Amino acid sequence: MTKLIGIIKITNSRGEVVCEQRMHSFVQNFAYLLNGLCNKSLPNNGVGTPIKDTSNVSCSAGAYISSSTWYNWYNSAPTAAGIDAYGMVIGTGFTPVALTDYILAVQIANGTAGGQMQYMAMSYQIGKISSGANRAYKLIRCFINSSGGAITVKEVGFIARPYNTGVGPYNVLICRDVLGAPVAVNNGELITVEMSFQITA
Amino acid sequence: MIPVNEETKKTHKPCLQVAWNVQVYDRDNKLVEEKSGQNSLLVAFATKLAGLLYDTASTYKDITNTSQAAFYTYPDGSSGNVVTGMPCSGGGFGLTTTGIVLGTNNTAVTADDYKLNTIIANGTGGSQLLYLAGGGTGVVTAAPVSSFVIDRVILNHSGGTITIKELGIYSIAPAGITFCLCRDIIADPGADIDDGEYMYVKYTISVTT
Repeated sequence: MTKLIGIIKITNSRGEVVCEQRMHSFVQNFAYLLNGLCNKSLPNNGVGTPIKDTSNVSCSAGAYISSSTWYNWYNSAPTAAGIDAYGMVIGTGFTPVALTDYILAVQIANGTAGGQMQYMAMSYQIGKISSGANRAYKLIRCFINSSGGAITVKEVGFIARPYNTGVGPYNVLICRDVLGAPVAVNNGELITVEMSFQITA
Repeated sequence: MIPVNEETKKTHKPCLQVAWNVQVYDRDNKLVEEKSGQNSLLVAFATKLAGLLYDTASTYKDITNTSQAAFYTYPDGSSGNVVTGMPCSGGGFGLTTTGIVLGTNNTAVTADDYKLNTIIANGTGGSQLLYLAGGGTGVVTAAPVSSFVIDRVILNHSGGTITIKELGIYSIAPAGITFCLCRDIIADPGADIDDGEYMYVKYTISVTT
């Protein structure tokens, strides 16, 4: 038996792992997007507009547009520094995850004011984990606390950007996890958050 | 430093559940056998998922088709490229290049599997099966689970009994390249489909909070 697992790993400024846990919580939006991919349709077999963006507004974008044209879930470019509307995001909320979550409970905004952290550009790594084709795919983002005070990170999520011609992009939360071990980030420190996926036995 | 949360590290729940169910019906539409299992996603699925989440074309050939040839993954569907879509629920009538497929070899699954070991060809000849068009549902949510179904009916008009020992889902890219997204095995003695019988195969893909 093999399965897809996700891992969230957070390291601090000294490279110490301060949180590592399985990523469990794809939300309903993810199921709709994946359904569209498999069914060669817009989400939910092309019926309705069930996906909710981060403003809780229904949207229809998916990955499929025609028999030969597909799009990913990430619009046109990897997430740049300073962008907190999509890509990997962090927050201070800890309410339990619900399938219908469309935003983090309390997202930390980008910036240097009180309660804010600076969002760095996202990057991507592929790590070989077998002699065959098996790989670990890592999405990585650093967050710097220049707010003047300590901030405790308690939740992590990923906001995708599905689109197709003339539709979107929309900011759509596809996963949210509450950290089993909240991570305190002092002023002047940074954390690196990795979200990785791999197939494992 | 806050210590690594050992308790949560021990949790082995996958982030995406894939469950299968096969039912064999006789000529009178009577259920004669049913088996179930779960979770055998393969590398091609993870590769495509990664391609969906990051908008950069791969710099090396990182995905392997069912002929074990390597291809690039690309974020969009330029002609000839391997793309991030994974159409698989609408396998056309008679097609074994997309949708649910069946086989006869239950060698253990490994993450690097790229095809069924011994796929059963479409047809009415000896040891062949008739693959009807595949189907699929939209998403059904019943908290804490959101799920959808990919399914297919496969008939045996071969004149003899065929024993099913593996099943999987193939996905075909617009360039006509087929990938194996998951492969599951049915433990010995497998599931028999006698001549004139048919098998209903259902995969349920779900996320759970």
